[in-house]
Amino acid sequence: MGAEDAKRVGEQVRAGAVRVDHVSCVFEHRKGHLVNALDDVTFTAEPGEFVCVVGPSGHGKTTLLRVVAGLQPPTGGSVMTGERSVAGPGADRPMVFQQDTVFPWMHVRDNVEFGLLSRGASKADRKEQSDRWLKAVGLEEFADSWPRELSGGMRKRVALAAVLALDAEVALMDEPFGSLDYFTRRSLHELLLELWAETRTTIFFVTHDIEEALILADRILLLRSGKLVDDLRVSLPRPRDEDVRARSEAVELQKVILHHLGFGAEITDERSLRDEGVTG
Amino acid sequence: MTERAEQAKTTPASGGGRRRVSSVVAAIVIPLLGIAIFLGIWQGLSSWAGVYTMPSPTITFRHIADNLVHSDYLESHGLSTGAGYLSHIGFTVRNVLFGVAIGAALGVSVGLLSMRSKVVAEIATPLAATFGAAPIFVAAPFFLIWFGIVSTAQVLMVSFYTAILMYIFSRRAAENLAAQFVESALTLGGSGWSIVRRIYVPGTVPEVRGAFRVALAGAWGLAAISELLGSEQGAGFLIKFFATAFVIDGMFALTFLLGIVAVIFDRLAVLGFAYLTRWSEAGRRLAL
Repeated sequence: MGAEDAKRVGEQVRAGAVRVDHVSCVFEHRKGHLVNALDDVTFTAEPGEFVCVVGPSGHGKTTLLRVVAGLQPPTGGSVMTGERSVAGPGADRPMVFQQDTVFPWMHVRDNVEFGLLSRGASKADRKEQSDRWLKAVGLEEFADSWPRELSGGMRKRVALAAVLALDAEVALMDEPFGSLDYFTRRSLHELLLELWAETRTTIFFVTHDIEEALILADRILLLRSGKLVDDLRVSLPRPRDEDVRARSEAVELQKVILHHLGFGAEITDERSLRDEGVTG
Repeated sequence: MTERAEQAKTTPASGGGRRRVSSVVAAIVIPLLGIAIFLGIWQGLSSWAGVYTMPSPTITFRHIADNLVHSDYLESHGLSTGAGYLSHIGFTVRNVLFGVAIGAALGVSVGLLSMRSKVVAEIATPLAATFGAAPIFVAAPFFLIWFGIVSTAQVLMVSFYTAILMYIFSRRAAENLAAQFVESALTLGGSGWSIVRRIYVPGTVPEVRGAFRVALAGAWGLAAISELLGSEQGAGFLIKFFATAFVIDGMFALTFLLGIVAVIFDRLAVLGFAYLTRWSEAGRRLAL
Protein backbone atom coordinates (compact mmCIF):
# COMPACT_ATOMS: atom_id res chain seq x y z
CA MET A 1 0.00 0.00 0.00
CA GLY A 2 1.44 3.36 -0.98
CA ALA A 3 1.55 6.41 1.25
CA GLU A 4 -1.33 8.03 -0.60
CA ASP A 5 -3.47 4.89 -0.31
CA ALA A 6 -2.68 4.62 3.37
CA LYS A 7 -3.61 8.26 3.90
CA ARG A 8 -6.86 7.80 1.98
CA VAL A 9 -7.81 4.71 3.99
CA GLY A 10 -6.95 6.58 7.19
CA GLU A 11 -9.29 9.39 6.19
CA GLN A 12 -12.12 6.95 5.53
CA VAL A 13 -11.66 5.42 8.99
CA ARG A 14 -11.49 8.87 10.55
CA ALA A 15 -14.60 10.00 8.69
CA GLY A 16 -16.84 7.09 9.58
CA ALA A 17 -15.57 5.78 12.91
CA VAL A 18 -17.38 2.52 13.69
CA ARG A 19 -20.83 1.38 12.63
CA VAL A 20 -22.26 -1.79 14.16
CA ASP A 21 -25.27 -2.75 12.07
CA HIS A 22 -27.77 -5.38 13.28
CA VAL A 23 -25.00 -7.61 14.58
CA SER A 24 -25.95 -10.99 15.96
CA CYS A 25 -23.73 -13.72 17.23
CA VAL A 26 -25.16 -17.13 17.94
CA PHE A 27 -23.08 -19.88 19.49
CA GLU A 28 -24.04 -23.51 19.61
CA HIS A 29 -23.73 -24.77 23.15
CA ARG A 30 -22.10 -28.13 23.53
CA LYS A 31 -25.44 -29.63 24.59
CA GLY A 32 -26.95 -28.53 21.28
CA HIS A 33 -29.00 -25.50 22.22
CA LEU A 34 -28.22 -22.10 20.71
CA VAL A 35 -26.98 -19.13 22.74
CA ASN A 36 -27.57 -15.58 21.49
CA ALA A 37 -24.38 -13.86 22.63
CA LEU A 38 -25.38 -10.78 20.62
CA ASP A 39 -28.89 -10.13 19.44
CA ASP A 40 -29.43 -7.53 16.72
CA VAL A 41 -27.07 -4.91 18.14
CA THR A 42 -26.97 -1.62 16.24
CA PHE A 43 -25.15 1.64 17.04
CA THR A 44 -22.64 4.03 15.54
CA ALA A 45 -19.64 5.34 17.44
CA GLU A 46 -18.61 8.80 16.32
CA PRO A 47 -14.95 9.63 15.76
CA GLY A 48 -13.13 10.47 18.98
CA GLU A 49 -15.83 9.15 21.29
CA PHE A 50 -15.03 7.27 24.46
CA VAL A 51 -17.62 4.51 24.50
CA CYS A 52 -17.95 2.20 27.49
CA VAL A 53 -19.82 -1.08 27.07
CA VAL A 54 -21.31 -2.06 30.41
CA GLY A 55 -23.15 -5.16 31.44
CA PRO A 56 -22.95 -8.18 33.72
CA SER A 57 -20.47 -10.96 32.96
CA GLY A 58 -21.61 -13.33 30.22
CA HIS A 59 -24.02 -10.87 28.59
CA GLY A 60 -22.09 -10.23 25.38
CA LYS A 61 -19.70 -7.33 26.13
CA THR A 62 -16.52 -9.14 25.17
CA THR A 63 -18.21 -10.82 22.20
CA LEU A 64 -19.21 -7.38 20.90
CA LEU A 65 -15.66 -6.14 21.24
CA ARG A 66 -14.26 -9.25 19.54
CA VAL A 67 -16.68 -8.79 16.66
CA VAL A 68 -15.53 -5.18 16.21
CA ALA A 69 -11.90 -6.38 16.47
CA GLY A 70 -12.56 -8.96 13.76
CA LEU A 71 -11.56 -11.82 16.06
CA GLN A 72 -15.11 -13.21 16.07
CA PRO A 73 -17.16 -13.22 12.88
CA PRO A 74 -20.80 -12.28 13.52
CA THR A 75 -23.52 -14.72 12.47
CA GLY A 76 -25.60 -11.78 11.27
CA GLY A 77 -25.16 -8.10 10.48
CA SER A 78 -21.96 -6.23 9.79
CA VAL A 79 -19.35 -3.91 11.28
CA MET A 80 -17.97 -1.02 9.24
CA THR A 81 -14.98 1.18 9.96
CA GLY A 82 -15.14 4.09 7.55
CA GLU A 83 -16.13 2.62 4.21
CA ARG A 84 -14.60 -0.74 4.95
CA SER A 85 -16.38 -3.79 6.25
CA VAL A 86 -14.56 -5.57 9.08
CA ALA A 87 -13.51 -8.98 7.81
CA GLY A 88 -10.76 -9.82 10.28
CA PRO A 89 -8.37 -8.37 12.83
CA GLY A 90 -6.10 -5.52 11.81
CA ALA A 91 -3.87 -2.75 13.09
CA ASP A 92 -6.61 -0.17 12.45
CA ARG A 93 -8.41 -1.63 15.51
CA PRO A 94 -5.72 -2.66 18.02
CA MET A 95 -6.89 -4.14 21.30
CA VAL A 96 -5.80 -4.17 24.94
CA PHE A 97 -6.91 -7.44 26.46
CA GLN A 98 -8.12 -8.28 29.93
CA GLN A 99 -5.35 -10.85 30.27
CA ASP A 100 -1.70 -9.95 30.32
CA THR A 101 -0.80 -9.95 26.63
CA VAL A 102 2.50 -8.11 26.75
CA PHE A 103 4.85 -10.56 25.04
CA PRO A 104 7.14 -11.80 27.82
CA TRP A 105 9.92 -12.78 25.39
CA MET A 106 10.32 -9.24 24.06
CA HIS A 107 11.88 -6.28 25.80
CA VAL A 108 9.46 -3.49 26.68
CA ARG A 109 10.59 -1.41 23.70
CA ASP A 110 10.11 -4.32 21.29
CA ASN A 111 6.59 -4.80 22.62
CA VAL A 112 5.75 -1.17 21.88
CA GLU A 113 7.32 -1.45 18.43
CA PHE A 114 5.57 -4.75 17.53
CA GLY A 115 2.76 -3.18 15.51
CA LEU A 116 5.06 -0.64 13.91
CA LEU A 117 7.41 -3.40 12.77
CA SER A 118 4.46 -5.39 11.41
CA ARG A 119 3.45 -2.29 9.47
CA GLY A 120 6.97 -2.07 8.00
CA ALA A 121 8.06 1.13 9.76
CA SER A 122 11.76 1.96 9.56
CA LYS A 123 14.03 1.40 12.55
CA ALA A 124 14.40 5.14 13.12
CA ASP A 125 10.65 5.67 12.96
CA ARG A 126 10.04 2.79 15.36
CA LYS A 127 12.58 4.18 17.81
CA GLU A 128 11.06 7.64 17.62
CA GLN A 129 7.54 6.33 18.21
CA SER A 130 8.52 3.93 21.00
CA ASP A 131 10.49 6.71 22.76
CA ARG A 132 7.46 8.98 22.50
CA TRP A 133 4.94 6.47 23.82
CA LEU A 134 7.17 5.01 26.50
CA LYS A 135 7.63 8.54 27.80
CA ALA A 136 3.88 9.16 27.55
CA VAL A 137 3.15 6.16 29.77
CA GLY A 138 6.06 6.92 32.11
CA LEU A 139 8.19 3.91 31.25
CA GLU A 140 11.08 5.44 29.33
CA GLU A 141 13.52 4.09 31.93
CA PHE A 142 12.22 0.57 31.44
CA ALA A 143 12.62 0.35 27.66
CA ASP A 144 15.23 -2.40 27.92
CA SER A 145 13.54 -4.34 30.73
CA TRP A 146 11.85 -7.69 30.38
CA PRO A 147 8.10 -7.65 31.13
CA ARG A 148 8.66 -10.01 34.09
CA GLU A 149 10.60 -7.20 35.74
CA LEU A 150 7.54 -4.93 35.70
CA SER A 151 4.45 -4.82 37.90
CA GLY A 152 1.00 -5.68 36.52
CA GLY A 153 0.13 -1.99 36.23
CA MET A 154 3.35 -1.24 34.35
CA ARG A 155 2.66 -4.07 31.92
CA LYS A 156 -0.75 -2.55 31.23
CA ARG A 157 1.01 0.72 30.43
CA VAL A 158 3.19 -1.17 27.95
CA ALA A 159 0.07 -2.64 26.35
CA LEU A 160 -1.47 0.84 26.12
CA ALA A 161 1.70 2.26 24.57
CA ALA A 162 1.81 -0.57 22.00
CA VAL A 163 -1.78 0.15 20.96
CA LEU A 164 -1.47 3.94 20.90
CA ALA A 165 1.86 3.85 19.02
CA LEU A 166 -0.09 2.57 16.01
CA ASP A 167 -1.95 5.89 15.84
CA ALA A 168 -5.12 4.00 14.94
CA GLU A 169 -8.46 5.76 14.77
CA VAL A 170 -10.10 3.10 16.92
CA ALA A 171 -8.74 1.35 20.03
CA LEU A 172 -10.50 -1.55 21.73
CA MET A 173 -10.11 -2.33 25.43
CA ASP A 174 -11.57 -5.40 27.07
CA GLU A 175 -11.65 -4.81 30.84
CA PRO A 176 -7.98 -3.89 30.62
CA PHE A 177 -7.65 -2.84 34.26
CA GLY A 178 -9.94 -5.48 35.74
CA SER A 179 -7.17 -7.45 37.41
CA LEU A 180 -5.45 -4.43 39.00
CA ASP A 181 -5.84 -2.97 42.47
CA TYR A 182 -8.00 0.10 42.98
CA PHE A 183 -5.17 2.64 43.22
CA THR A 184 -3.32 1.35 40.15
CA ARG A 185 -6.60 1.31 38.26
CA ARG A 186 -7.32 4.94 39.18
CA SER A 187 -3.89 6.09 38.06
CA LEU A 188 -4.34 4.23 34.77
CA HIS A 189 -7.75 5.87 34.28
CA GLU A 190 -6.05 9.26 34.55
CA LEU A 191 -3.30 8.22 32.16
CA LEU A 192 -5.77 6.81 29.64
CA LEU A 193 -7.89 9.96 29.72
CA GLU A 194 -4.79 12.14 29.23
CA LEU A 195 -3.70 10.07 26.23
CA TRP A 196 -7.21 9.99 24.81
CA ALA A 197 -7.47 13.78 25.12
CA GLU A 198 -4.20 14.01 23.20
CA THR A 199 -4.98 11.48 20.45
CA ARG A 200 -8.80 11.67 20.25
CA THR A 201 -8.85 8.01 19.32
CA THR A 202 -12.29 6.41 19.32
CA ILE A 203 -12.16 4.06 22.31
CA PHE A 204 -14.39 1.08 22.96
CA PHE A 205 -13.92 0.13 26.59
CA VAL A 206 -15.62 -2.93 28.04
CA THR A 207 -16.21 -2.96 31.78
CA HIS A 208 -18.62 -4.33 34.34
CA ASP A 209 -17.61 -1.58 36.76
CA ILE A 210 -20.16 1.26 36.66
CA GLU A 211 -17.84 3.67 38.50
CA GLU A 212 -15.14 3.04 35.89
CA ALA A 213 -17.64 3.75 33.10
CA LEU A 214 -18.71 7.00 34.80
CA ILE A 215 -15.10 8.14 35.12
CA LEU A 216 -14.22 7.39 31.50
CA ALA A 217 -17.17 7.43 29.14
CA ASP A 218 -18.78 9.95 26.82
CA ARG A 219 -21.33 7.33 26.16
CA ILE A 220 -22.37 4.10 27.86
CA LEU A 221 -23.87 1.18 25.96
CA LEU A 222 -25.76 -1.21 28.20
CA LEU A 223 -25.80 -4.85 27.19
CA ARG A 224 -28.09 -7.35 28.78
CA SER A 225 -28.55 -10.91 27.49
CA GLY A 226 -26.85 -9.91 24.24
CA LYS A 227 -29.26 -7.02 23.58
CA LEU A 228 -28.38 -3.35 23.56
CA VAL A 229 -30.86 -2.18 26.18
CA ASP A 230 -29.81 1.47 26.33
CA ASP A 231 -27.39 3.96 24.88
CA LEU A 232 -26.65 6.68 27.44
CA ARG A 233 -24.72 9.87 26.80
CA VAL A 234 -22.76 11.06 29.83
CA SER A 235 -22.40 14.80 30.02
CA LEU A 236 -20.82 15.02 33.45
CA PRO A 237 -17.92 17.49 33.47
CA ARG A 238 -14.37 16.17 33.35
CA PRO A 239 -12.31 15.35 35.32
CA ARG A 240 -14.86 13.18 37.04
CA ASP A 241 -13.43 13.04 40.52
CA GLU A 242 -15.27 11.87 43.64
CA ASP A 243 -17.15 15.18 43.94
CA VAL A 244 -18.47 14.99 40.38
CA ARG A 245 -19.42 11.34 40.82
CA ALA A 246 -21.27 12.22 44.01
CA ARG A 247 -23.55 14.68 42.21
CA SER A 248 -27.19 13.79 41.96
CA GLU A 249 -27.10 13.33 38.17
CA ALA A 250 -24.24 10.84 38.51
CA VAL A 251 -26.09 8.95 41.20
CA GLU A 252 -29.25 8.93 39.07
CA LEU A 253 -27.25 7.69 36.11
CA GLN A 254 -25.98 4.81 38.21
CA LYS A 255 -29.57 4.02 39.12
CA VAL A 256 -30.57 4.05 35.46
CA ILE A 257 -27.75 1.67 34.62
CA LEU A 258 -28.61 -0.67 37.48
CA HIS A 259 -32.28 -0.53 36.57
CA HIS A 260 -31.61 -1.42 32.93
CA LEU A 261 -29.34 -4.23 33.96
CA GLY A 262 -32.12 -5.72 36.08
CA PHE A 263 -31.17 -4.65 39.56
CA GLY A 264 -34.45 -2.87 40.26
CA ALA A 265 -33.09 0.49 41.38
CA GLU A 266 -35.66 3.24 41.52
CA ILE A 267 -35.15 6.02 39.00
CA THR A 268 -36.59 9.47 38.76
CA ASP A 269 -38.54 10.40 35.63
CA GLU A 270 -36.64 10.63 32.37
CA ARG A 271 -37.22 14.37 31.96
CA SER A 272 -35.47 15.25 35.20
CA LEU A 273 -32.54 13.04 34.21
CA ARG A 274 -32.18 14.92 30.94
CA ASP A 275 -32.30 18.20 32.85
CA GLU A 276 -29.47 16.98 35.06
CA GLY A 277 -27.17 16.07 32.19
CA VAL A 278 -27.95 12.40 31.62
CA THR A 279 -29.33 11.72 28.17
CA GLY A 280 -30.42 8.45 26.66
CA MET B 1 30.14 0.83 69.12
CA THR B 2 27.86 -1.07 71.52
CA GLU B 3 27.82 -4.84 71.65
CA ARG B 4 24.32 -4.92 70.19
CA ALA B 5 25.33 -2.72 67.28
CA GLU B 6 28.40 -4.84 66.69
CA GLN B 7 26.24 -7.96 66.72
CA ALA B 8 23.78 -6.37 64.29
CA LYS B 9 26.62 -5.59 61.93
CA THR B 10 28.18 -9.02 62.08
CA THR B 11 25.08 -11.22 62.02
CA PRO B 12 24.11 -10.63 58.37
CA ALA B 13 27.75 -11.07 57.33
CA SER B 14 28.00 -14.45 59.01
CA GLY B 15 24.62 -15.35 57.47
CA GLY B 16 26.01 -14.42 54.04
CA GLY B 17 29.07 -16.56 54.74
CA ARG B 18 26.85 -19.51 55.56
CA ARG B 19 24.93 -18.98 52.34
CA ARG B 20 28.19 -18.89 50.34
CA VAL B 21 29.35 -22.14 51.97
CA SER B 22 26.02 -23.82 51.26
CA SER B 23 26.07 -22.71 47.60
CA VAL B 24 29.61 -24.11 47.20
CA VAL B 25 28.43 -27.36 48.78
CA ALA B 26 25.45 -27.48 46.38
CA ALA B 27 27.52 -26.65 43.29
CA ILE B 28 30.66 -28.73 43.87
CA VAL B 29 30.63 -31.04 46.86
CA ILE B 30 27.26 -32.73 46.23
CA PRO B 31 27.96 -33.53 42.53
CA LEU B 32 31.40 -34.85 43.51
CA LEU B 33 29.76 -36.96 46.18
CA GLY B 34 27.37 -38.33 43.55
CA ILE B 35 30.27 -39.26 41.28
CA ALA B 36 32.10 -40.89 44.20
CA ILE B 37 29.02 -42.97 45.06
CA PHE B 38 28.65 -44.00 41.39
CA LEU B 39 32.32 -45.05 41.20
CA GLY B 40 32.03 -46.85 44.52
CA ILE B 41 29.03 -48.88 43.33
CA TRP B 42 30.80 -49.61 40.02
CA GLN B 43 33.92 -50.77 41.89
CA GLY B 44 31.80 -52.90 44.22
CA LEU B 45 29.92 -54.56 41.36
CA SER B 46 33.21 -55.17 39.54
CA SER B 47 34.66 -56.88 42.60
CA TRP B 48 31.51 -58.96 42.96
CA ALA B 49 31.14 -59.92 39.27
CA GLY B 50 34.83 -60.13 38.38
CA VAL B 51 36.88 -57.82 36.17
CA TYR B 52 36.41 -60.00 33.07
CA THR B 53 32.65 -59.53 33.24
CA MET B 54 32.65 -56.01 34.58
CA PRO B 55 35.95 -54.11 34.42
CA SER B 56 36.59 -51.82 37.36
CA PRO B 57 36.73 -48.04 36.98
CA THR B 58 40.53 -48.16 37.25
CA ILE B 59 40.85 -50.66 34.40
CA THR B 60 38.36 -48.73 32.26
CA PHE B 61 40.07 -45.36 32.80
CA ARG B 62 43.49 -46.91 32.05
CA HIS B 63 42.05 -48.35 28.84
CA ILE B 64 40.70 -44.93 27.87
CA ALA B 65 44.03 -43.23 28.63
CA ASP B 66 45.89 -45.80 26.48
CA ASN B 67 43.54 -45.54 23.48
CA LEU B 68 41.86 -42.18 23.48
CA VAL B 69 44.05 -40.21 21.09
CA HIS B 70 46.20 -42.97 19.60
CA SER B 71 45.39 -46.67 19.72
CA ASP B 72 47.90 -49.36 18.89
CA TYR B 73 45.13 -51.90 19.40
CA LEU B 74 42.92 -50.39 16.70
CA GLU B 75 45.91 -49.98 14.39
CA SER B 76 46.96 -53.59 14.88
CA HIS B 77 43.47 -54.74 13.93
CA GLY B 78 43.34 -52.52 10.86
CA LEU B 79 40.63 -50.31 12.32
CA SER B 80 42.58 -47.09 12.09
CA THR B 81 45.85 -45.70 10.90
CA GLY B 82 46.98 -44.52 14.27
CA ALA B 83 43.90 -42.62 15.41
CA GLY B 84 42.32 -43.51 18.73
CA TYR B 85 38.78 -43.62 20.09
CA LEU B 86 38.41 -39.87 19.74
CA SER B 87 38.12 -40.04 15.96
CA HIS B 88 35.34 -42.66 16.23
CA ILE B 89 33.58 -40.66 18.93
CA GLY B 90 33.95 -37.60 16.68
CA PHE B 91 32.23 -39.47 13.85
CA THR B 92 29.28 -40.31 16.11
CA VAL B 93 29.14 -36.75 17.49
CA ARG B 94 29.07 -35.29 13.98
CA ASN B 95 26.22 -37.60 12.91
CA VAL B 96 24.21 -36.88 16.04
CA LEU B 97 24.65 -33.09 15.81
CA PHE B 98 23.81 -32.96 12.10
CA GLY B 99 20.85 -35.29 12.56
CA VAL B 100 19.44 -33.46 15.58
CA ALA B 101 19.94 -30.03 13.96
CA ILE B 102 18.19 -31.05 10.72
CA GLY B 103 15.42 -32.94 12.53
CA ALA B 104 14.78 -30.17 15.08
CA ALA B 105 14.68 -27.45 12.42
CA LEU B 106 12.30 -29.50 10.28
CA GLY B 107 10.08 -30.71 13.13
CA VAL B 108 9.72 -27.31 14.81
CA SER B 109 9.16 -25.47 11.51
CA VAL B 110 6.43 -27.83 10.34
CA GLY B 111 4.93 -28.06 13.83
CA LEU B 112 4.59 -24.28 14.17
CA LEU B 113 3.55 -23.70 10.58
CA SER B 114 0.81 -26.28 11.04
CA MET B 115 -0.75 -23.87 13.57
CA ARG B 116 -1.18 -21.22 10.87
CA SER B 117 -1.81 -23.47 7.85
CA LYS B 118 -4.60 -26.01 7.79
CA VAL B 119 -3.05 -27.74 4.76
CA VAL B 120 0.28 -28.24 6.55
CA ALA B 121 -1.55 -29.54 9.64
CA GLU B 122 -3.68 -31.97 7.64
CA ILE B 123 -0.66 -33.40 5.86
CA ALA B 124 1.82 -33.48 8.75
CA THR B 125 -0.32 -34.64 11.68
CA PRO B 126 -1.33 -38.09 10.33
CA LEU B 127 2.22 -38.67 9.09
CA ALA B 128 3.67 -37.81 12.50
CA ALA B 129 1.07 -39.99 14.23
CA THR B 130 1.84 -42.97 11.94
CA PHE B 131 5.63 -42.72 12.02
CA GLY B 132 5.67 -41.67 15.65
CA ALA B 133 3.84 -44.85 16.63
CA ALA B 134 6.31 -47.14 14.79
CA PRO B 135 9.54 -47.85 16.70
CA ILE B 136 12.39 -46.08 14.90
CA PHE B 137 14.59 -49.18 15.28
CA VAL B 138 12.27 -51.02 12.89
CA ALA B 139 13.17 -48.46 10.23
CA ALA B 140 16.92 -48.78 10.81
CA PRO B 141 17.50 -51.67 8.37
CA PHE B 142 15.65 -49.76 5.63
CA PHE B 143 17.85 -46.72 6.10
CA LEU B 144 20.94 -48.92 5.87
CA ILE B 145 19.66 -50.62 2.70
CA TRP B 146 18.68 -47.32 1.07
CA PHE B 147 21.68 -45.25 2.04
CA GLY B 148 24.39 -47.83 2.73
CA ILE B 149 26.80 -47.91 5.61
CA VAL B 150 27.98 -44.34 5.13
CA SER B 151 27.04 -41.68 7.67
CA THR B 152 24.01 -40.55 5.62
CA ALA B 153 21.96 -43.42 7.05
CA GLN B 154 22.86 -42.49 10.64
CA VAL B 155 22.19 -38.79 10.09
CA LEU B 156 18.83 -39.47 8.44
CA MET B 157 17.76 -41.88 11.16
CA VAL B 158 18.53 -39.35 13.86
CA SER B 159 16.88 -36.57 11.83
CA PHE B 160 13.76 -38.64 11.29
CA TYR B 161 13.44 -39.52 14.96
CA THR B 162 14.13 -35.94 16.08
CA ALA B 163 11.77 -34.38 13.52
CA ILE B 164 8.81 -36.56 14.61
CA LEU B 165 9.43 -35.84 18.29
CA MET B 166 9.94 -32.10 17.77
CA TYR B 167 6.89 -31.83 15.49
CA ILE B 168 4.62 -33.38 18.10
CA PHE B 169 6.01 -31.32 20.98
CA SER B 170 6.30 -28.00 19.15
CA ARG B 171 2.73 -28.31 17.93
CA ARG B 172 1.55 -29.12 21.42
CA ALA B 173 3.57 -26.18 22.78
CA ALA B 174 1.96 -23.88 20.21
CA GLU B 175 -1.49 -25.18 21.15
CA ASN B 176 -0.71 -24.50 24.80
CA LEU B 177 0.56 -21.00 24.10
CA ALA B 178 -2.04 -18.58 25.43
CA ALA B 179 -4.39 -17.74 22.57
CA GLN B 180 -4.50 -14.09 23.59
CA PHE B 181 -0.84 -13.64 22.58
CA VAL B 182 -1.71 -14.58 19.01
CA GLU B 183 -4.93 -12.54 19.08
CA SER B 184 -3.09 -9.53 20.48
CA ALA B 185 -0.46 -9.85 17.73
CA LEU B 186 -3.23 -10.06 15.11
CA THR B 187 -4.90 -6.88 16.34
CA LEU B 188 -1.51 -5.14 16.32
CA GLY B 189 -1.10 -5.96 12.64
CA GLY B 190 0.84 -9.24 12.82
CA SER B 191 0.02 -11.90 10.24
CA GLY B 192 1.15 -15.22 8.76
CA TRP B 193 4.87 -15.78 8.95
CA SER B 194 5.52 -12.87 11.33
CA ILE B 195 3.18 -14.47 13.89
CA VAL B 196 5.05 -17.78 13.58
CA ARG B 197 8.47 -16.12 13.83
CA ARG B 198 7.76 -13.54 16.51
CA ILE B 199 5.08 -15.24 18.63
CA TYR B 200 5.10 -19.01 18.20
CA VAL B 201 8.86 -19.55 17.95
CA PRO B 202 9.95 -17.60 21.07
CA GLY B 203 6.76 -18.40 22.98
CA THR B 204 7.14 -22.17 22.61
CA VAL B 205 10.86 -22.41 23.39
CA PRO B 206 10.35 -23.18 27.11
CA GLU B 207 8.08 -26.13 26.32
CA VAL B 208 10.13 -27.36 23.35
CA ARG B 209 13.28 -27.31 25.49
CA GLY B 210 12.36 -30.57 27.23
CA ALA B 211 11.56 -32.33 23.96
CA PHE B 212 14.88 -31.23 22.47
CA ARG B 213 16.81 -32.66 25.40
CA VAL B 214 14.89 -35.94 25.14
CA ALA B 215 15.60 -36.04 21.38
CA LEU B 216 19.29 -35.29 21.92
CA ALA B 217 19.61 -37.94 24.64
CA GLY B 218 17.85 -40.51 22.45
CA ALA B 219 19.94 -39.57 19.42
CA TRP B 220 23.16 -40.88 21.02
CA GLY B 221 21.62 -44.30 21.54
CA LEU B 222 20.06 -44.26 18.08
CA ALA B 223 23.31 -43.30 16.35
CA ALA B 224 25.22 -45.96 18.28
CA ILE B 225 22.65 -48.64 17.43
CA SER B 226 22.65 -47.70 13.74
CA GLU B 227 26.45 -48.01 13.83
CA LEU B 228 26.10 -51.39 15.50
CA LEU B 229 23.83 -52.52 12.68
CA GLY B 230 26.03 -51.34 9.86
CA SER B 231 28.91 -48.88 9.83
CA GLU B 232 32.67 -48.82 9.45
CA GLN B 233 33.22 -46.03 11.95
CA GLY B 234 31.81 -44.63 15.15
CA ALA B 235 31.44 -45.54 18.79
CA GLY B 236 28.72 -48.10 18.04
CA PHE B 237 30.88 -49.78 15.42
CA LEU B 238 33.76 -50.12 17.93
CA ILE B 239 31.45 -51.45 20.64
CA LYS B 240 30.22 -54.12 18.22
CA PHE B 241 33.81 -54.98 17.28
CA PHE B 242 34.83 -55.24 20.95
CA ALA B 243 31.79 -57.38 21.70
CA THR B 244 32.79 -59.78 18.93
CA ALA B 245 36.38 -59.87 20.18
CA PHE B 246 35.20 -60.04 23.83
CA VAL B 247 37.17 -56.91 24.78
CA ILE B 248 34.95 -56.02 27.71
CA ASP B 249 37.08 -53.14 28.99
CA GLY B 250 36.97 -51.59 25.47
CA MET B 251 33.15 -51.84 25.46
CA PHE B 252 33.00 -50.20 28.87
CA ALA B 253 35.43 -47.49 27.82
CA LEU B 254 33.43 -46.58 24.70
CA THR B 255 30.11 -46.66 26.56
CA PHE B 256 31.55 -44.48 29.31
CA LEU B 257 33.02 -42.01 26.78
CA LEU B 258 29.74 -41.81 24.89
CA GLY B 259 27.95 -41.12 28.18
CA ILE B 260 30.39 -38.30 29.02
CA VAL B 261 29.95 -36.76 25.56
CA ALA B 262 26.15 -36.98 25.89
CA VAL B 263 26.28 -35.25 29.28
CA ILE B 264 28.52 -32.47 27.89
CA PHE B 265 26.18 -31.78 24.97
CA ASP B 266 23.15 -31.92 27.23
CA ARG B 267 24.77 -29.26 29.45
CA LEU B 268 25.50 -27.16 26.36
CA ALA B 269 21.85 -27.52 25.30
CA VAL B 270 20.74 -26.42 28.77
CA LEU B 271 22.99 -23.35 28.54
CA GLY B 272 21.71 -22.54 25.04
CA PHE B 273 18.09 -22.79 26.15
CA ALA B 274 18.85 -20.77 29.28
CA TYR B 275 19.96 -17.97 26.95
CA LEU B 276 16.94 -18.34 24.68
CA THR B 277 14.53 -18.29 27.63
CA ARG B 278 16.35 -15.62 29.66
CA TRP B 279 13.14 -13.58 29.54
CA SER B 280 11.37 -16.12 31.75
CA GLU B 281 11.92 -16.69 35.46
CA ALA B 282 12.89 -20.32 34.81
CA GLY B 283 15.37 -19.24 32.11
CA ARG B 284 16.90 -16.66 34.42
CA ARG B 285 17.41 -19.30 37.10
CA LEU B 286 18.97 -21.69 34.56
CA ALA B 287 21.32 -18.96 33.34
CA LEU B 288 22.47 -18.40 36.92
